[in-house]
Amino acid sequence: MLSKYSLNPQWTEDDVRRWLLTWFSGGVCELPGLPSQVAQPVAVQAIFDAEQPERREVIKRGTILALQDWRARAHGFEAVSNLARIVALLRASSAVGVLGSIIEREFDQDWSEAQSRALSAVIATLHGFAPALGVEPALRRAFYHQRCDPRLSAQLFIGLARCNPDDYPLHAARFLTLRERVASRFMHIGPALLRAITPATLIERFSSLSTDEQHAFVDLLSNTPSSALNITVSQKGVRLVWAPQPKWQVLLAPHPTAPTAPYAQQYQRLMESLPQANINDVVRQMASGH
Amino acid sequence: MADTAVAHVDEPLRSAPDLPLLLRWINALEETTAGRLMLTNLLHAFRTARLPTETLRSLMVEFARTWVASIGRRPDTVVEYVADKAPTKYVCQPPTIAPGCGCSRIVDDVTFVTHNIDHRELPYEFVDYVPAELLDQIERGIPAELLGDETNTLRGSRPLAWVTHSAVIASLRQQHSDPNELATAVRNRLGLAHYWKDHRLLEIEYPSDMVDALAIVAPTFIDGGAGVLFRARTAPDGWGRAVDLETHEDGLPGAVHAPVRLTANFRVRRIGRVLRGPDFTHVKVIERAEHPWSSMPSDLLAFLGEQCAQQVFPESSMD
Repeated sequence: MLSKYSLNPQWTEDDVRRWLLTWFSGGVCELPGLPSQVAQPVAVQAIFDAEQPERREVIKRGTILALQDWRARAHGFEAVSNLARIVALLRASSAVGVLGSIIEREFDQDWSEAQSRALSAVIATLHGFAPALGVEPALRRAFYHQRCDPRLSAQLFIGLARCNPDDYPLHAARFLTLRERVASRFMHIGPALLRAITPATLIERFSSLSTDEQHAFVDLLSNTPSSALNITVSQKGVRLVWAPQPKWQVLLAPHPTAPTAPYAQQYQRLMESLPQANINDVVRQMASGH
Repeated sequence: MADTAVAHVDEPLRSAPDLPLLLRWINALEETTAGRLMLTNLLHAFRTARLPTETLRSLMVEFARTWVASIGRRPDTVVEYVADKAPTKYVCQPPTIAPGCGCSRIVDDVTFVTHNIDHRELPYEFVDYVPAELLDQIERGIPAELLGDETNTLRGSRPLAWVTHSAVIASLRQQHSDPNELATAVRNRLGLAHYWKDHRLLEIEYPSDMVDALAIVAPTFIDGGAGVLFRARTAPDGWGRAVDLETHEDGLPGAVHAPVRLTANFRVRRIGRVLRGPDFTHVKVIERAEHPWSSMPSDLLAFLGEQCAQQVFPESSMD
């Protein structure tokens, strides 16, 4: 049924701009009969998917024009949230610069919950284009903006980490500073962080963090349900082991018992070599039977 | 004009100069199959007294006025436009029933994430799919502290949500081992014609304490609006019935309710990706209705008033 929806064939990108800004600002949707049980950006994506290639580009450009024209007072935060999500669903990467400028501009205003939620959608969209050209500088400017909304700091940190996973320790101090202002938050970001930088990079660069930062990250990762990530904290320091295969998990279990005895010595050697050794190399060697 | 016209909604039709407008609106609806389906559902509401007489009469006038005022608007879309301005008055109207069983809502993953997930706390990227890791977290259960305030509700872009029996979804799960075949079957049996190929569906199962307090209603043409495929029906159990997109017969039970807050006790489960587009025709949906619309029926015409018949009908006098 969605495929029957289409733009007026006479519409230009400026018509698309007007349509979206009017609709999302509480006005009339000029395209009638869009499905009411899906989010508005999903309905726009359905129109886009059903259009011819040339018309798709008109929708993309029109959406970006709408973003450029968006103003908080005139159109409201719901509008920019919807527009950003459409950009994401259409993969309109040309919007990266506009998205970045909106974040910076809004950080100069007073923070409201509505604004924070809307900027969250903008950042999530920007993050989705990583590591495309322009994403990392935009996220960096927002993250290090003197009026950065701390509620958005986890998103910005993980977005930056996704652009350059090896550099995540460089941004850790800023993230933890911002997080202190919203201390009870971000206790469930572990899986998103691991998705952005991979467990291997987390471990390989973990020693670049200060001891305090390491412990803070252990806290943040403590709610990560992945049984593949083994975290131990002792007087010797923090140890992270990533064992994505079930047999490695047995191998690396803190207290290997009889059934895994053939691996016990290797496990012991591995644990003793932490954190100096390259854990992933060791794990790979053990997995391949060396 | 459309906004100010709402103030006149209670004005009696008989004394209003809106009769020609009303019949023009109905005529415009008759020009498309989707419009005739809406008229079919309107006729159902009238003949089953699903809505109070005065509400129906005044609403129809308001629809007509709004449609005429907004040049170019499709006539069926004014229904939700007008109704959603005063949802407590027009949407999810009584009689309410207790569900009497577990309830589930079926929705695509992107819509669920858009409406209900706080990316500040679950900082995944927003792209044209929902990352598997995020779906994993959602399925494990979203902690209450991440669900925000009372504005985080289950709803579509209109102020209502559609539900079905959890048990029938469970039954379909048993019948279809392939998740994508399951998703396609759920889409078809629930008449979710707005889900095309590749949409990934989720089941949001309501917690039992929520179900106990939930007031649901069999949907009317106002709840259906122009944005979903819907055929009005009130089964003996008090629920409505979806349109089965394959057979055009009654599908699974369906009902609507006002938005409710999403809590940590809701259980979200993946269903699968819809494999192919729906195959149905509005004509067949109308044919199998209890009160299919073919032309202006005499009882509805009488309801609209003798004045209407004498002054405006036949159609030729309306333009």
